[in-house]
Amino acid sequence: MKKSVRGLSPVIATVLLIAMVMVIGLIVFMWFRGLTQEAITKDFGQGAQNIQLVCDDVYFYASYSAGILSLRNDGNIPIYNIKVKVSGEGSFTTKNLEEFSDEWANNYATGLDQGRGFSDEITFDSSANEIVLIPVLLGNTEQGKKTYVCDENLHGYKIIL
Amino acid sequence: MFIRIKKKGVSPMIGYVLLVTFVIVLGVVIYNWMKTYIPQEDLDCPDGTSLFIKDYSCSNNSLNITLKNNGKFSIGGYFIYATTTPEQELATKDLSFYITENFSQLSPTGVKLTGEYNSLAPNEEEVDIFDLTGLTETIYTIEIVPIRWQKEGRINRIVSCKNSKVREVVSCS
Repeated sequence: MKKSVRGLSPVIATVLLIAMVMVIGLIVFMWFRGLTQEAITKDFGQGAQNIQLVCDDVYFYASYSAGILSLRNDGNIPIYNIKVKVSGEGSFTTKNLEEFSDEWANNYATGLDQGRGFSDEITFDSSANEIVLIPVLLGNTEQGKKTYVCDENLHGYKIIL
Repeated sequence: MFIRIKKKGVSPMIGYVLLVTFVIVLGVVIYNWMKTYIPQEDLDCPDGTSLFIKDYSCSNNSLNITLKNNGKFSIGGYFIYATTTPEQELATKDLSFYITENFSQLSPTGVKLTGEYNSLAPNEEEVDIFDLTGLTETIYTIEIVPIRWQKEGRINRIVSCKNSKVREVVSCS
């Protein structure tokens, strides 16, 4: 019996090889993309910048006295929202500022824009001994606008009650 | 039995083209991803930008402020805030809504000085009048943060001169 020793032609083998590499490459890319965070950027005219770096340029003042929380954005980065972390007696809760303040909920829909100030009477739980105000920025992604909470340790504004 | 094996694969030229194309595509993808991580210069006014409250007067619900540019660079406007209680540490009451010239008010906040962008040249003065009718609280201090229009990349935008802030204790009721 005569046995055929011919295999695939080199052209088909090359095409198969390239196709396999491309498919494997695509699978690895999708997997790696799932591992990394979606890039949120902000553009102030100098080109898009990752929002993590924009957080470094956020510059706001805050004070809490006589039950009144005051905030002022003296920097050039608009602050879309503020997360308030209230700590006391071994526990903490984090809420958006609109949950504490109707003034913020009603009049600060776009947040604390450049140069804007905010002041409202806010009552925290009696056991609370510290609040941290964490800026939230609004950036762009391929899917549209998305918020980003800045790092609490790097950009949070701590107030001892 | 002698079997002749064809040893020719992809030609070296096609190999090079594929390799170079692959590297270029990979480079473009990585560049586009990494370029957003390059830190950009912080938006700020140049050192030497300064504005000071030369004089103020309060009468009949009106606050007149004389501002002088005592810096080295022209100024375009300012953010103005007031404290409305003696114990308030941070001035947050926005007084720009009370400026008498409507065209001077910036949105959402701020006062634009008369003239074109950055119109207040060094050593020049301007008097701005605020009509405080409707303001029920007493003003204890005012804080002013100068602003400038600066070309940042392709956009001419307002830049807050946060390091040139001035504070003045006033007595207006």
